[in-house]
Amino acid sequence: MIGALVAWAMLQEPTVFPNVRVIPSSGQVVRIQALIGIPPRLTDEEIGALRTLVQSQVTESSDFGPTKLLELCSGGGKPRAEVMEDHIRIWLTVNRVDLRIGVKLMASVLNHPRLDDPESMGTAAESLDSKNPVYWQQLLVPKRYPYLPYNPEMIKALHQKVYIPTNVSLCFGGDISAEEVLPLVAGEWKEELWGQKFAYRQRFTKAKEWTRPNAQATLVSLNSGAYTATTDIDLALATSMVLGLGKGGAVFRVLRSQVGLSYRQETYLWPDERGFRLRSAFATLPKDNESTLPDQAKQALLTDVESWTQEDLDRAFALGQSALEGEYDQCPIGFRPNGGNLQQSGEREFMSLYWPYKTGTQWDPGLIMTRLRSLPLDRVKTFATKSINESTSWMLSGR
Amino acid sequence: MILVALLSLALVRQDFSPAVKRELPNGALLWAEEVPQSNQVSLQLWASSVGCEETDQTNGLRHLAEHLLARGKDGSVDLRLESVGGYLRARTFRDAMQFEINVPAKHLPLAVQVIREIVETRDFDEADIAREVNAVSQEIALTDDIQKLSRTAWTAAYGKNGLDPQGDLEVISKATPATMKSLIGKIFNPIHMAVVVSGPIKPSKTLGQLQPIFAVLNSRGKRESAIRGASQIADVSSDALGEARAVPVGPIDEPGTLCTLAAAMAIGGLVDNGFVQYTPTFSKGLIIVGQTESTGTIEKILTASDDGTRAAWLASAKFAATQWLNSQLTNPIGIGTLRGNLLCQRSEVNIEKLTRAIDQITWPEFLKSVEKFESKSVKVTGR
Repeated sequence: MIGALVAWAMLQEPTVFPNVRVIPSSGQVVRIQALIGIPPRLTDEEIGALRTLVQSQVTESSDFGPTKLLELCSGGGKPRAEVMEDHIRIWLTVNRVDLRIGVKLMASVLNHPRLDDPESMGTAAESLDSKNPVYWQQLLVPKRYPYLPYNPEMIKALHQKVYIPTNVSLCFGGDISAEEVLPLVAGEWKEELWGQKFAYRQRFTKAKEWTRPNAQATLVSLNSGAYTATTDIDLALATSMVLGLGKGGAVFRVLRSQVGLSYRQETYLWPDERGFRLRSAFATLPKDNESTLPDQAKQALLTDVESWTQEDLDRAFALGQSALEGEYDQCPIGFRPNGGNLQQSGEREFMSLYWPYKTGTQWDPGLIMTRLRSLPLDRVKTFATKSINESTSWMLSGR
Repeated sequence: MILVALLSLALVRQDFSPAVKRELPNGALLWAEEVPQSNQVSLQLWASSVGCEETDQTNGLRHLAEHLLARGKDGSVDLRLESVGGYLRARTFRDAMQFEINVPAKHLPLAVQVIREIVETRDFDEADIAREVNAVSQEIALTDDIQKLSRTAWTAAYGKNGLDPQGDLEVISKATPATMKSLIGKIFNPIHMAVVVSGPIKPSKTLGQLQPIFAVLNSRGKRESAIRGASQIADVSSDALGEARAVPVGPIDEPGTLCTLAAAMAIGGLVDNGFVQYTPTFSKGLIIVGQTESTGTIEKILTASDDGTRAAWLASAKFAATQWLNSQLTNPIGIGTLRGNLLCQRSEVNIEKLTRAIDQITWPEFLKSVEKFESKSVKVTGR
C-alpha cells in the first residue's frame, strides 16, 4: 500500500512553482522525482528533440558538472530520465542528509540545463542514437526518433515550452516532511526563468518505425483508440486486468495456452498524449502466414470475452489489487517504455504524480479497486468487445 | 536502471525481526520470520542442485522438472493463487531451484497447500512432459539479451561447469516420465532443501504447519555445497545486443566477493539500462555487469575514469550494496529469496559477516575490484 499522503501542495503562486508531493517512508535516502507533462500536439520532430534535451539534462547542468552530479547522487547512481508520449520523468536519489542539495540539484537539472555546449549535446544525441532497445520495448514503443545534429535554438525553445512550472510535478519520498521540503522548493523555482521565448526552425526528420525486431521474434500489438473520460479509463483498466494479469488472464490463457499464438504476452492501459489506450502486446516465434496473426488474436480474444464470468473478474481484480499495491510484479498500467511495475517504492511514488496528471483523480489503489469491483460484468464485457473490435493492429515480422 | 539479479545476500536482524529456525531430523531446514508491517506472505522452497548436477547429457532436465512441479497436482495452482491475489514464481539456477509463492497474509493456508502439492507430486505422463517441453522451447527461443550475455560469460569462465540451467532443447525433448520421476526424487532430498516463510506470521505456529510436509521426506548423503572447477577469462562475442564484463569470484563469504559485487554495482549504476547479475553461492560464482543497448559503453566508462573518479564510485558502491541489503530485511520476498538460497546450500550462514564485508571495503580493495572488470574479466561483446 502506498504511504499516506502528507502533502499535495500547490504552492501559493501557481505560475511559478510546481506541484509538490511528499510521501514519507523510512530509509537513509530521499527519492526526488519530476513529472513533466508534454504539451499536446508536439510534433514527432519535437518529441525526438526532447529526448536529446532530456539526456543532456541528466548528464550535466549549468551548475553541476557530470562528476559532481554523480558524486551527489551516490545513493542511486546518476540521475535518470525517460520520455513517453505524454510525459517526461526525471529522477534521482540522494542521501537523507543531502536533501537541500538534492532539491537544488533537481531544480538545476530541470531549469538550468547546459544548452550552450554543442559538444555535450552532440555526445548526448550520439549516445542515444547508437542504442538498441530490447525487443519488448520495440513492441511497446514502435516509433524510433532519429537524433540529428544539435540545434541550440530548437532545444532552448523546447525547454521553454515544456518546462514551465505549472507543467512540472515533484515527488519526494523518504524520511522527510512536507514542512521541510516545501520551503526548499520555493527557494529554487524563480520566476525569471520563464521570460524570454525562443523561436526556431524545425530541422528534425519524422519518426521512423523499426525495420526488424532485436530478437528472433515477431511482435504484434492490438491498440484501441484513446480513452479520456474517467469512466472509460476505469473500464479500460478493468479490461486490462482481465485480459492481461496472471496466467488466468485472457492473453496468457488463450493466446499462449489455447491457440499457441504467443510466448510472451501482456495487456496494458497505455498512455498516449490524450489519455490511455488499451494495448495487448505479444511476441511469438516467426512463422509462415504470420500476417494473419493480429486477426487470429483478435478473434480468439473476442470469443473468450463472451465466456467471461464474474469469477474471471474477481480473479483479475484480486491480482490487480496486488499489482497496484506493489505486491505483484506485473502492472496493468504501462507507464515506462518497458511497461513498468510497481513493486519498488519509488515507482509507486511516481504513480502518485502520474495518475492524477492523467486522470484528475487521486492515486489510491484501494479506491480504484472499489470502483472497478462495482462495474457490472456485462458492462466490462461490452466494453472489452468494442475495444478489441475497434483495435488497430501493428506487427513487426521477425522473418 | 540497474537490474540487480542478486538472489541472496542476507542480513537478518533478529532483534527486531523475530525469526525461528528449525532443522528436521532428515536435514530439511525451515526458517520462519515475522515481518509485521507487510500485508503479504512469501513462502519459498529452495532445493540445492547438489546430487543432480547437470552434464551435457542432462542439461535442462532440472529446468523441465521445475516447469512440471510448478503446475501442482492438477495444473490449477496458478488459477487458485491468482483468485486470491497471489502468484507463484519458479526459477532454476545453476546451484539451486526456487519455488516462490506470494499471497495476501490471510491466504497463507493456500500457500501451504500449494507447497505441499509441489513436494508430493512426482508422477507426470508423456502429455505433461510434451506440454512443458513446448513451453521451455519457447522460453529458450525468446531468451532475452541479459540472459544471452550471461550465458556466454558463464561458458567462457567455467566451460562445462557453468552450463546454462535453461538447458539444451535436444536433451529436454528426450525426457521421459521415468527419468523425470527419478530426477525429482534427487532434487527433493531434504538434506539439500530449505523452506523460508516470512510476512505477518507467527513463526513457530507457521513452522508447525509446514513441518509435516517435509518431515516425511527421506534423505540421502550429507549436506554439502556445489563444487565448481577452475575459472578462466577470455574475450568472447555474443549474438545478443549489448555487452558484459564478468569477474569470477569465490564463495559469497570469501573476502573480496562482495567487494567485487559493490564494484559491479558502481559501474552498472553509470550505464543506462545496465544490469548487475550475481547468484550468491558457496561454490565459485560469477559477477556480471553489462548493458543491453550498445557496445563499448563500459569500456568508455572504465577508460575515462581516473582514481579520483573511482574514489567517488566507492561511496556510491558501498551505499548501493548496503541499501540493497537493507531493503531485503523488510520485504518478505527478499527475505525468502536471500535466506532460502543460502540455507539450501549450507545450514549455518553468518549473515553479519556478509554485512561487515561491505562495511569494511577499503579503497585499495575497491580499486582492485574495479580493475578486475578491466583486466581480469570475461569480456563479452554483443551486436
